[in-house]
Amino acid sequence: MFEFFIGNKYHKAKKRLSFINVINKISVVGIAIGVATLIVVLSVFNGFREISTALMTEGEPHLIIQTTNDSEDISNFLKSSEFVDLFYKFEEGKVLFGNKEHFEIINLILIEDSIFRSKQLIYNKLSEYDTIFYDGNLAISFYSAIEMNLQVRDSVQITSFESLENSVLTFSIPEITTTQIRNIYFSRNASLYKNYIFASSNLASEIFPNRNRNTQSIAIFLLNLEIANEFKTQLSANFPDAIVKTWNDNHAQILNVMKIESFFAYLLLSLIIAVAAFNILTSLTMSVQIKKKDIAILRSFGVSRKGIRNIFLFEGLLNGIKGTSWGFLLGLAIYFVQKYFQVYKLDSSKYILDAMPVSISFWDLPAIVLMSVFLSFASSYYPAKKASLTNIIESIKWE
Amino acid sequence: MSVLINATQLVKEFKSANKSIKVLKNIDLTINKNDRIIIFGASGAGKSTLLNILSSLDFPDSGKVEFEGIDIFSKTDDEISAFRNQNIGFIFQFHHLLPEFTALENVAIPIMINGIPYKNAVKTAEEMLHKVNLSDRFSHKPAELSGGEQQRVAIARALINSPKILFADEPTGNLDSENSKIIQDLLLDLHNKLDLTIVIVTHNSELEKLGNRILKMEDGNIFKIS
Repeated sequence: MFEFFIGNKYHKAKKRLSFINVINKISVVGIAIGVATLIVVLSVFNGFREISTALMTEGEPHLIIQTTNDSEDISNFLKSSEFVDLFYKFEEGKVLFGNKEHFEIINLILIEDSIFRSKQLIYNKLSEYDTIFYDGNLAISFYSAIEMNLQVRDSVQITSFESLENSVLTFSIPEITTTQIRNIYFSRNASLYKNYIFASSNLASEIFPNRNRNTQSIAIFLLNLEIANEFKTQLSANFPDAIVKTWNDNHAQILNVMKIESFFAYLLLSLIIAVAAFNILTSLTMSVQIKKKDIAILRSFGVSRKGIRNIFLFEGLLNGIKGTSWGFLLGLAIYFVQKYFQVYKLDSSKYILDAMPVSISFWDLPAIVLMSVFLSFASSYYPAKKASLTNIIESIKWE
Repeated sequence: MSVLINATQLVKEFKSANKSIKVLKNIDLTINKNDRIIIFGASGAGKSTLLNILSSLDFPDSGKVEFEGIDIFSKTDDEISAFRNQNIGFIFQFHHLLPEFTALENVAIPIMINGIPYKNAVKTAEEMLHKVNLSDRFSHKPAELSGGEQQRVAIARALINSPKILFADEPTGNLDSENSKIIQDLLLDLHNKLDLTIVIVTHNSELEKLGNRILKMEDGNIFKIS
């Protein structure tokens, strides 16, 4: 392709005016800085998003499916699925929880007894702090334990809101369940840590005696939480009457905010590239002005207007590609240095992280490269178009 | 003898703010295949304008130029460009070589425009430079060549696509007498070897001996001298 051959030669050749060389270099360096900044900033955004996601989902089911039908079919389906790590039936409700000194309103989750006893929830999904018995009784967070001055083997009372409501309506004494704390857990998930306690479903009929149990809820943990949406589609297709919610649905608002934040960072940082690419327009416009005679000569050999336009598009694009490539390498280098050597530290007394988290999303890299190449192309288009309109006779006469 | 170019009633006028100059006044000209036409005329007589229109570089205000019976100005820009590439060779007074490219690349470019891959184009360009006795100047850039060598590279470039006609605008105008003689001999030699039709505009009377038809332009009109 002769347009590329000539454009590449023009791109590599030292310009006849050194001023154009300087502007050219500024544009390449500017684009490189813009691309590198975009890669680094977006990888920091991704790093924080991954950490936030990990915190939000720690101990929290990746999917919850609710059905009014027999849940056995769903259980069988989940058992045979290669994507499922753990699933269990559960009930949930607000309770008044405490001992004689402290009371607190908290969410109680009653987990299928076999799962609760097998310690899978505690070992796999929450961090164990202190465990003595696994006899199906209560597990509370370390936070609640401190707040209410409780420890393992302490007796506590639980009264459901349903029971309280019923007692008000029927002027009766509310049902109070007394049980022992048998496990204390840690969690980085603030919601689970502060607002939830867990117990075996054996206590369900005691704590929620009047509950209508037509609807059954199943919590599902996948081996990879990223496929939650695909798995939801699969579940919905197989069990159309069931309601399926993913962790994304539960945190839709915060996830959307993070996505929007990341998108606007992408747009705003692209302005750096746009400003740098503007220099391509300047240097290429000057280059076209100086090369008017060459353009006329090329036209006289039979290069069409389109061909002339393409030559200068290539010249501008090659500048953009050069800057993009340098920026790409620089950005990746900074990313890898931070990822493996953690050069930028965070104060671990203030943050839960030791260093600035970074993570590259697969689609960010092509998006950054395409944006940079597109801006270089857009900046090259006007001078290239102008070059194609060069008057052959006027330009050949000029000597 | 078959007709290569038939120009009829060519008119070209240049307008400035307060006056207009008619450079070509109803010119009729027939160029036969294998002709060697020399057009003399003083500066401003309109000879370069005529050359530019005959070679499709410029458009007339009225009139027609037929190349092998086809009106060249009825074509689109892409078609005219391809037509120029395949049928017409140019030599300018100031060689007009592309300074960023070597002699070899300068010669190869027209053939690459015709869609020939770089390797093949370079091979053909080497042969062409050999024909103009510049085998030892392949990798030299125009600035590293003498005036005569530059013009010989320009001739090689003009002929690489085996055009049917070669237009030369003052081909020796920028050369000393020794180099001018070399170029004249070369043009005559190439005409004989390649069966080339040549149209030269000049005010160098020494080029008269190259032509089989001598024309003169004066005040926008053309006259036959011999």
